[in-house]
Amino acid sequence: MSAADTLPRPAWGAPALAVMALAMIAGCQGQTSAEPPIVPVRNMHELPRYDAQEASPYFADGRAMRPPVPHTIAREMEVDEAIDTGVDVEGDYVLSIPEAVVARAGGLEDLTRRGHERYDVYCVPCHGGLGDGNGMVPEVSGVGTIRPPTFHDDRLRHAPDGQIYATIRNGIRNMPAYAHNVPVHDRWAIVAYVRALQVNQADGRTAALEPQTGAGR
Amino acid sequence: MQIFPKPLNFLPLVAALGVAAGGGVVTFVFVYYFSPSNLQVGYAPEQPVPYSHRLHAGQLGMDCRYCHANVERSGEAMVPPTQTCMGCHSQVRTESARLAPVRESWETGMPVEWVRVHNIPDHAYFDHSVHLAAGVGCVSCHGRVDRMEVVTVQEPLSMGWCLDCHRNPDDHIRPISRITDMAWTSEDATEAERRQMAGLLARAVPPENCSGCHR
Ligand code: HEC
Ligand code: HEC
Ligand code: HEC
Ligand code: HEC
Ligand code: HEC
Ligand code: HEC
Repeated sequence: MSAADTLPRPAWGAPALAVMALAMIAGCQGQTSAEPPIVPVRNMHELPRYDAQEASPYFADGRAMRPPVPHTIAREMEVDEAIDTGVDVEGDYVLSIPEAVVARAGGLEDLTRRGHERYDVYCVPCHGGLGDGNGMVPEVSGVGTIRPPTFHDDRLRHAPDGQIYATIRNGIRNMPAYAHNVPVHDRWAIVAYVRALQVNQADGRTAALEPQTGAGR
Repeated sequence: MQIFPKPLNFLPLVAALGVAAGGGVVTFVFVYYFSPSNLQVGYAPEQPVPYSHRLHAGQLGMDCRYCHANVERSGEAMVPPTQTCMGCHSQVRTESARLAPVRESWETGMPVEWVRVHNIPDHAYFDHSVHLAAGVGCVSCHGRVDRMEVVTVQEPLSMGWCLDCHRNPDDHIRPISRITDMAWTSEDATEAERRQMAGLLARAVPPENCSGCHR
């Protein structure tokens, strides 16, 4: 009599199948799931404090982060009004980028380099890399929605620096304002780069820019 | 007389094998399924708005900082405010039902309730601006976001993962101008960029002591 006849045959197949089935249900590591991650040890995982952008039941709008109280200014806010708004005390657009801004950047060249970087982030989607108004957004969204102008017509070539600055800060007609995500300094840097683009793209009409005064308010 | 049939002599062997195999399976299940590589990676919660990074960051080519504007300046990258979306969507796709929660938020002033995807425990400290200033790109920690329809966790976000890079950041440092460039690899580096990378690497001192991250 052989061993195989007296004992029930070791059913290797069944456990193996079970393991395989489990593995198939559990899947490979890191499969996509909409369920929150399981945290086995939760010690100090959630401290009794609010992180940025967390929800809070204490405020009516549900935000733990509070919007600034009206009529208060942030510590890092620009206090020089001409630098902050691009409009001087007489109510005219600032003609050229304020000296203080250029000095803080360590020269016009550095300011323009910074401006190039920021222009590529905030302006290129609509105005395009050359400033001709052929960005991806106008291309994708179709005619009649967002139609930015070219920077290389005479009206904008001769606009004062403060006007370009105010456009970034406040937006204009169909263009959104960028005050909430571009700090003051970077806005002036972008102005410097827009100027460089205009000179660069001049097709022999007028190589030099002649900013003209205009009412800012 | 024999009480037990002879084949039972194999029982200890079979039992030992069984225990070994069972232990192996249990160990495997723990190491494979209970590790952060499984628990964290792949988390892709359903968001209130079917916002697509593939469309905005990929197809439209928008830079990450257009929306995550604070990422270089503060520890938190921050999900953008409704105002950022409405800059375009007050004109683009104004009728779209998928954008209804964004318009509603704009009208009522209540925030859009985005679900947090990447989250490390409160007892660990993480700061985006330091990493970006050191030349670590988004792609090293978040993967190819510009190809994601829905943001999905790509890296384990575990302590071991942080330390792996802190001990050996060489492959993750890139020129500052490329930090948001998802497709860039070190093979594309120009001579000037290589020099900048070497400088950044020489300056970087990622903490490996406990108090660096558990402060
Ligand atoms: C969401 C797309 C969009 C983005 C991004 C954008 N713009 Fe515009 N921009 C427009 C549109 C649309 C107009 C035309 C506004 C109109 O006349 O209705 C415009 C107009 C302008 C004008 C001309 C204003 C005038 O006096 O006619 C300037 C200058 C300008 N943009 C600069 C910028 C700068 C600098 C940036 C980057 C910080 C920027 N824009 C980002 C869409 C955009
Ligand atoms: C048009 C605006 C926009 C742009 C551009 C953008 N994002 Fe986002 N991002 C969002 C919004 C809105 C969310 C929140 C919804 C979500 O998680 O899908 C988000 C979420 C994320 C998250 C997950 C946040 C969390 O909760 O953990 C990561 C990571 C992220 N973005 C990375 C990037 C990277 C990297 C880029 C550049 C390639 C980028 N984003 C470009 C708007 C944007
Ligand atoms: C720079 C402009 C711009 C910004 C900023 C922007 N979008 Fe978009 N969005 C677009 C364009 C362009 C489309 C594509 C429209 C098309 O395909 O015709 C689009 C499409 C969409 C769609 C798909 C709509 C549909 O009906 O299929 C959603 C959802 C969306 N965006 C959400 C958002 C959210 C949320 C934000 C803010 C975090 C945002 N967008 C910011 C330009 C923008
Ligand atoms: C060194 C790794 C690393 C890099 C580089 C990195 N992130 Fe993150 N990111 C994280 C971690 C870790 C978290 C979770 C942070 C937490 O829970 O406090 C996170 C969270 C986020 C969040 C959501 C939560 C928040 O902090 O507001 C967004 C959005 C985000 N990252 C976007 C980006 C973008 C955009 C970039 C590139 C400009 C980037 N990240 C680069 C590791 C990184
Ligand atoms: C892809 C590489 C990489 C990853 C992943 C990474 N780090 Fe870092 N981290 C760095 C580098 C490089 C520095 C050095 C920065 C410097 O010295 O300027 C650094 C610095 C730090 C610092 C020091 C900040 C300071 O204020 O001095 C902390 C804290 C930190 N990392 C936390 C984390 C945590 C927590 C994680 C995981 C969630 C993480 N890091 C993941 C590369 C990385
Ligand atoms: C590079 C940053 C970093 C350093 C350095 C670091 N940790 Fe951590 N640690 C983390 C992060 C991030 C987590 C959360 C991991 C997770 O969620 O899986 C963590 C988790 C832990 C936990 C687990 C807590 C729990 O409840 O699960 C312990 C314990 C811990 N760390 C101890 C230490 C000790 C001891 C040291 C020094 C030898 C140290 N850590 C150094 C980033 C760090």
